[in-house]
Amino acid sequence: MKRPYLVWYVLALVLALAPAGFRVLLWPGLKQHAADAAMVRAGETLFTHVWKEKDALSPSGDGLGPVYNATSCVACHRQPAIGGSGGLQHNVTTFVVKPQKPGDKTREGVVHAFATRFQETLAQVDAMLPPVARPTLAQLVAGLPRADGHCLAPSFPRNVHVSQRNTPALYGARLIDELPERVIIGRERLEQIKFGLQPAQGENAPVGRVNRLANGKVGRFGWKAQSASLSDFVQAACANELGLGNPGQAQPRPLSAPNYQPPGLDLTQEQCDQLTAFCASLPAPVERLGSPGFGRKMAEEGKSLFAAVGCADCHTPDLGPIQGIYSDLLLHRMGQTLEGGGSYGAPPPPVPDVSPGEGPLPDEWRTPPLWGVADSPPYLHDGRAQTLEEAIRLHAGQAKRAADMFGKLTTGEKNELIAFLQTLRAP
Amino acid sequence: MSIKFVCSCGKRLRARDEMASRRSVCPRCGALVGIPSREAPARGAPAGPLSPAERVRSRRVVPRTDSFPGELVVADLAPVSQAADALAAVPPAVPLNPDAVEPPAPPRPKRTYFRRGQLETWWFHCLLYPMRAFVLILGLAVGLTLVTGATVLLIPELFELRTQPWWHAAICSAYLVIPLVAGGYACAALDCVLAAGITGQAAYLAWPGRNIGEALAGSGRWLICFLAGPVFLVAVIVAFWMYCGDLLLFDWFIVAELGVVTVGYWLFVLASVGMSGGLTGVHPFQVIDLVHRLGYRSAVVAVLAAAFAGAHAWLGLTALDGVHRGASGWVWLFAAWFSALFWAVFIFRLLGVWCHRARICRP
Repeated sequence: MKRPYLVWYVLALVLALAPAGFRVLLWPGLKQHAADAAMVRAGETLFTHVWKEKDALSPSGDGLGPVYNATSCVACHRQPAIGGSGGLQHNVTTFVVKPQKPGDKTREGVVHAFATRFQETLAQVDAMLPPVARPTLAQLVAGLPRADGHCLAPSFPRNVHVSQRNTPALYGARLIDELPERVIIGRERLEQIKFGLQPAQGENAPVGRVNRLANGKVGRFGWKAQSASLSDFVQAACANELGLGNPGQAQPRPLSAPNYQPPGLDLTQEQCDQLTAFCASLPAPVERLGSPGFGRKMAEEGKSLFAAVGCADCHTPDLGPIQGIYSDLLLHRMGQTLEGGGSYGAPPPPVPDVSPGEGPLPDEWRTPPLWGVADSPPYLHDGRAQTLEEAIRLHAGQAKRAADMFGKLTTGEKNELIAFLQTLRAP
Repeated sequence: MSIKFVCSCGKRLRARDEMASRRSVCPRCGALVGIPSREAPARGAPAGPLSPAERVRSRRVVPRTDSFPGELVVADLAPVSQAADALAAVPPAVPLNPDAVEPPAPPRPKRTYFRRGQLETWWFHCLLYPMRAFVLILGLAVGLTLVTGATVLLIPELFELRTQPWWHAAICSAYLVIPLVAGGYACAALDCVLAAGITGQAAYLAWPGRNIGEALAGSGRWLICFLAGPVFLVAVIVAFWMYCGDLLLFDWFIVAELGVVTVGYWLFVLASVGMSGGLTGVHPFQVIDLVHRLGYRSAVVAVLAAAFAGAHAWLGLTALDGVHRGASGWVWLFAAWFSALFWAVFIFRLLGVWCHRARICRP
């Protein structure tokens, strides 16, 4: 039977699929970082440079400070090598003061550990807080079995929350920076479908959400996913950790001198780009299962348990083109015990640029990549967990189900899972 | 030249000359119609069949003759027009007997009302079918609401089975059979509506009843029809939505037009299977044949069905999100299912009736 009209219907089907194919060709691909060796060398020089007040490398500005947490990038990012994580002694103290009267605004910022002038203490956050300059983690978090100070938090006013941030490793930052936004958004949609459209604001299922910044971009760097790009992240860190104002982020004003005005910018855009290029040059961590044998078998069994227990629901092994990242880069609610507000929010223009009421909740944290986790203790956002097992036990909120399932494993199975995590080494 | 004439329902028809004095079927009402002959039936009668305008003008003048094919003469049921000047313009016919009595005026045509048990003639008549099936739709909506709501609430619990022994996981996963059976029953009910329309059956409502075998067979047919082609389009849509990031207006247009093609093709595969009486209807050529026969109606059905499906999918997903938050989500979920089933029955009935007409008029 002849069907002369068949051609037209096939043509119609092709025309129906053509727009989708055309649109796929227009999708933004990987953002490529131009590898410039000279820029990387210059960036490494800046990364290891020990800054001081009125430094020669910042002729226009005031140099280091007036308030700062470290004198160089490598002072914190050094474990196990340059560009890595940091210990508890380099934790950054942040605060959030919720308004008590109508019309007041939420105040948040950083209590800097050091200062060339205008030393900051907790008392400048709120008059009810003690005048402690560098609070330890044990003084802020109740129940930590350490002898470096008794906990002060119970005496804090209810509207004041002080927490700390541990230094994250920078390995593999280029891969994260190059990831298209649609991959992160696609992961968010996948988790919503996988868990039956459970709301991301709930704690019943590990459904994460993208942190949308005020400029519409998707956050991917920082404990709260507050930075959309590596460049923004580097510039914010320079300003807030070293007091080096730059074109992307002005240096914070001291809590005791809110009207302080620096003479100019400490870093030029080129210097910021050099630092960014160096951070982008840091290699990604690797998974070292070891040579065939009992140890490798344990790690492989542990990898299976990692998925079976539910760790891989958030710490997904691969994200788009990135292999072995073990993170979905989404915000997840981690429970009241792991709350931590505050950010680089002091004026001038804040980073993160978050509209009031739309930012991450105090108990929401970006899933940290587990690549290199074996070489980056302590763990969790403030380093309160000294071991991997302790970190897993402290998971709450959306991760509580997985933590409970880990607790029900036998001792041997737990050792296998930990053995697998120990294979995730820094480069 | 073609022969023009009018059916009893008022539909103006045209036939080829070689069809003269034969019978055919009105595409609107499905009634048998006799195609008049071009030759003059008797001396003195008007030569050949009259055009509709001529027929109006000569309504009270043209005598009935026994040689006209059947009773379905235009003069009986043509629209009534009492224009006296039109009548005066036509010369009166010469009767055989000058003393013959003028035949009585033909009765006024009756309006064509839709009666229960009669196959629908207009598209809006199909709206009565879901109203007749109100109780069935209500029951299905309640069942599907309970099943889908419970399923999404229990999904996180099912993930805990990953570390359980396989037999424990298998027993707990048996729960998943319930939503599959519920969904399959709904598919089978719609399949019955479609089949009733295709066969021209209108006296009673068609549904699977307590026949679980029929329900499973219907859901199996739906699944096979889905796998026969729409599954690839659905995969394209899902992949596009998952990885396109923030959707621009052009992206939404792409999702919409792919949705129309997917839903429409799935409907036509189901109709083709229903018309062929077997799974041979899944062949793309047969589906294209059906679409070609339906003509513009296929586009109407595809766009309507896709629009309803998209709107109810959005409503359902919003309701499922609300189920996690409170009781209002359950109410919205029920409303979404009820509305979806109501309009699905309407569309399937409409498609079935149109397929029935298309099959009868098949050369």
